[in-house]
Amino acid sequence: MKRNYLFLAIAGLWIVGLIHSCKEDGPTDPDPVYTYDPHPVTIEVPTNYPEPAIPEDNPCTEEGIYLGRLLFYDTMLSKDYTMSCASCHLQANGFTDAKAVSTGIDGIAGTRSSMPLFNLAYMFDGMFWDGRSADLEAQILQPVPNPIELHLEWTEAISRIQASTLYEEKFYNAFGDLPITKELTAKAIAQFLRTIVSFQSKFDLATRPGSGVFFTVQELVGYNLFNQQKGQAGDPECFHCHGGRLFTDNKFHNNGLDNVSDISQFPDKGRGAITANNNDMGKFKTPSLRNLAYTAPYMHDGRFATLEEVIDHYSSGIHNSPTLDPIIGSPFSGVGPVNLSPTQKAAMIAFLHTLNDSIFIQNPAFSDPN
Amino acid sequence: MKKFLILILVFTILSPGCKEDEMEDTASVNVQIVPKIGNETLVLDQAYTDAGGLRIKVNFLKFYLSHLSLVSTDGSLAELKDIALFDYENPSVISAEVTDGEYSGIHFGLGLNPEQNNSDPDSFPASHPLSYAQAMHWDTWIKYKFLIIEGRVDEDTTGTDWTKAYSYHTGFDDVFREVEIARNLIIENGQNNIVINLDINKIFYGVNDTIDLLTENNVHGSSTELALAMRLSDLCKNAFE
Repeated sequence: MKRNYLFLAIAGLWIVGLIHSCKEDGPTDPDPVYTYDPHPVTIEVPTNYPEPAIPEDNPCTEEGIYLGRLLFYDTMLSKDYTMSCASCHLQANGFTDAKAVSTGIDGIAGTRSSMPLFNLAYMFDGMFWDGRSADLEAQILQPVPNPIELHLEWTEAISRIQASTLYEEKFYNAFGDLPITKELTAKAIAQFLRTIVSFQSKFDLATRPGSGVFFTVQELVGYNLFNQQKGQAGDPECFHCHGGRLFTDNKFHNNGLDNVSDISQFPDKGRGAITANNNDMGKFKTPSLRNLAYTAPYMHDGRFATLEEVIDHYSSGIHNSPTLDPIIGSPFSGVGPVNLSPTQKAAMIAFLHTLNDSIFIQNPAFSDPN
Repeated sequence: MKKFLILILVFTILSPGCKEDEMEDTASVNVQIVPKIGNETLVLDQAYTDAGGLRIKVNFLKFYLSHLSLVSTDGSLAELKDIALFDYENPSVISAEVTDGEYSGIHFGLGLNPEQNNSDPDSFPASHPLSYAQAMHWDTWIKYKFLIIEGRVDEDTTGTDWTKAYSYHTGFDDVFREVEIARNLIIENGQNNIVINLDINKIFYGVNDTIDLLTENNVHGSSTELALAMRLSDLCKNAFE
């Protein structure tokens, strides 16, 4: 019996040794020279402001954010090396390109205006004007291969990134994983974009107790108009779609831009082209009203060059159509148009300018790192 | 010593028995809200002839239920959920655990009670029903919207002219209503499914009141619209079944 035990013990040791030696002889870890020790980053927002929503599978780290920032500004992601994400999303313009519609590397103009990039950690219910991407990571995958944008297949883009001496270690530092993929690339850029928050406007200070910053009388009149809802003609009721500290409800609305009698006539079907739901035709994502001083022209197609034109539209230029939002459609429900006076329009614009955040557009953490 | 060990043994054997006697059995309950228009299950954006003969569409339906509970046979409430937000664009089933047994009904608040209504939407994570991300808070009045129902009316009944719209956003403590639906429920081990129907017809056409969708078509929170908001809430209270 004792001999049996001895035999089993020796056999066991032999097997363990064999396994151990096999492991040593096997393929080596391809990434041993790089370190993976990511440093978590908490996105700072003022007290009493909502916490940014960060996906569990892509937490922000110093390494990921820096990598994403490098990629965001890298022209390697366009077919002819002439454009980067930042070409249509300039920091000085609230990360828009200040054009009615954007033009890609081949000189082909798109049909929509470059969306501003800030407070994206608070954006829900779809990215883009039509919400066709569920989240930021999915959204980032689209402009690179788009023929009218950066026009570069992801396989080629990844080959370029892999061939670069700049990136391999940084990807490993950020994600502890190689090879580089388009998904990891999108995750890194998403981490960087989520750090771009804008909550340092005059409005933010004036509504913070004890800040010592106050609205002017004109701004306050505009703020009250913005929120006015007395159930009568002349109520701007802007807050319905542009409420909260983000100044967007993240929803899709038809705000009366086009005078069409049939849904097939919308020049751009917007959300409806994605959902194929007739009730979504002509609807677009509500943009935030923050940083309007930097993000002109306005609307999904940049049709309004100035804020004055925007206010004129909402005041007396609403067009009827089958999917016109019921709230903005009040003129067609018997309440009548807003018809702001020149003084009221000036007050409204004065208030909107309190939402400009000059610190955000100059924040060096968001600029080109090269 | 021997006696002492026997005592410990007896105590050890008896202890879990006492615990088991004190434990109550719980069961899983899934509550599903089903909007209807008459006998038909409502489909958003689809045209219907309503109880008043109008051709209408419902484009949007979203509301809070608070302190959703089952009514015990002794009249006490067994709470399933403190707050739930029903959004018919993305309807979800409300799941909870409750003591199994016999119940006589379902009870909930339509909207939020005053304490809940004073919450700060920025203090909740985005996924919470009271968070800013639900777009249910009026910053203007620092209160929540309780019910949103929006749609269109085909005024001339040709089926092509849908330019008349109705848009009701009710809120404020005055329009909070408690709803009780009498129903015999036997909750047993395993999955128990409860369906609550909401008849859209009854929101607009009640026993003692009717809303004119063509002329009484806006409630967006102003004080002048409070009376209409309260009427809608009263009608809505009786539209659950």
